[in-house]
Amino acid sequence: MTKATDMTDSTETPNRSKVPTSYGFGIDDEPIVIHGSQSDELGTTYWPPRLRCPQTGGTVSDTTLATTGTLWSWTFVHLPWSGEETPNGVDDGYAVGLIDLDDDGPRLGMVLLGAPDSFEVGMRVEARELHFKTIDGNPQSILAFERLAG
Amino acid sequence: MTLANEVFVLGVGMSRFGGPYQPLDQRIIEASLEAIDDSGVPFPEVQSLYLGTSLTASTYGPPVVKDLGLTGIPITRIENASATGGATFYEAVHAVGSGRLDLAMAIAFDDPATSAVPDFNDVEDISPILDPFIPPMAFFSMWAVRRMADHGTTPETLAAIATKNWNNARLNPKAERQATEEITVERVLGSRMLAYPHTARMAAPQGAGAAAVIVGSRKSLERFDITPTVRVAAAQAHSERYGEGHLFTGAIIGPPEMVRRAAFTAYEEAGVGPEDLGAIAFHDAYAIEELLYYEAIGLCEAGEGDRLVHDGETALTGRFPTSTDGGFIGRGHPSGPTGIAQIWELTHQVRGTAGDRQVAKPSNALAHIVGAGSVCYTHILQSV
Repeated sequence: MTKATDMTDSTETPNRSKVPTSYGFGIDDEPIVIHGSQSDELGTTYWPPRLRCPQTGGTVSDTTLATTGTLWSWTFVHLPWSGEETPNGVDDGYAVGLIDLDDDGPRLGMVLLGAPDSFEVGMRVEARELHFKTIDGNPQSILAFERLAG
Repeated sequence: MTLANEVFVLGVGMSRFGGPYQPLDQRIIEASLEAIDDSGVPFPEVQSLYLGTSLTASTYGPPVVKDLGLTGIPITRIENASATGGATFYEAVHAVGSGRLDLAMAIAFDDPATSAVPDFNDVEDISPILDPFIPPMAFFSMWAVRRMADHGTTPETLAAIATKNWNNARLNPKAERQATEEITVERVLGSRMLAYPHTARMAAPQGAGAAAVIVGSRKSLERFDITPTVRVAAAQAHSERYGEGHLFTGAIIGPPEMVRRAAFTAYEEAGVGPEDLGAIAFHDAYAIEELLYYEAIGLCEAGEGDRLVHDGETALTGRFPTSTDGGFIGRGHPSGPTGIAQIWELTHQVRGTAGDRQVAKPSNALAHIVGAGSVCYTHILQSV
């Protein structure tokens, strides 16, 4: 039985039973805090937190990052979201985006909340926590972004 | 790092990728024997063996190649994600180019069906190794959406690239995708959506495969009375530098700065420029990659890649024939052997032995491959 992934003629979505449970470091419950690192020499901020500055090899300090940003790009992934409620209100996948955080912050890749046709490059977004139960009943919280209110 | 001594491609071999079931052991021996026969060098003369695999269990490989001969030479396994084959070739080439060896062999192989590691496009499997919600197809699709916003690229352009590669594969008996009739842009666009704007026919399949290559020094040519046809003019290995928008999580491949740096360092090493290339093998796991890499390696200016596609300049009859064997999208991408399959194809193109898909015989051909993490290998093969 081959596991080759050429399914170009299939209209069926692969059946998967659970959503991965390991994601997201540096988020708190309320209010949302995105933890990062700042290069002591350059001032550049990084996410997730680093042990050393990736540009100089020097020391870094803990910092908190902006929770708002600009959507650099996005896509809608046609893989099943197996939580009880889907992030985008549809059953055939979920949206993800790359977000440039404000204040010259780093770029993050995160799940996007909102209707699948509501995303556009350059739109303003803000961080939200997404709480859901996986198919096997485990509660999970991840960092997500949605259109900035107002 | 550049090559201190001349290195020549003496022989190449590969199994058909994908296709009917065939045990991986058989594919490895088939590809290896083809390379040995092609080289004219008896296997006992090979001084070191490099085995490339990114999906097999840790002990797989050395026992299989016992069928080639137990000669006591060093055997080293190499892994570098999708770039494993490029890395394996690079190590063999530099072993000879440094003057340490006169003959080295690189064999790479994988069978995703019996993989010992996760499927990178399966959101269940990849957690927690990679970003669990953003598989590779999502990252590349976000490149595509951004490109569409910046330069007005349309899904039709991505489909045109994939269509070219599907139809090139129809001319390659070793390609995984052997479509029985010509593939059209409409058919590519109409296949199942993976992640907007990439459909399934714009993405690489992952069947099993093996590929092999033997490289040698000028001294080896003299010893075995070989008339050389293909020289390795550049062998470059690079990784990412920090830049704006860098991502530390996920199966990221990029940014394209790494690709550009690897290519232009290779041009400098080989003493050529992008205008001298007559065939190019890309890491086209998703169609957007090939489009962006046209510009990254200097085939055209930024934003002009779409024109290159629609003007037919990347077709077999064009100025810059790309993915002539079908590329990842048509030939397939088992993972480990893909980089050596590129060398197999470009060696045949430079020799003029590529059959129905032969392009105007290139003096220089470039193989580009990247691996998650991210790393990039670029080789330039030159006719002798």
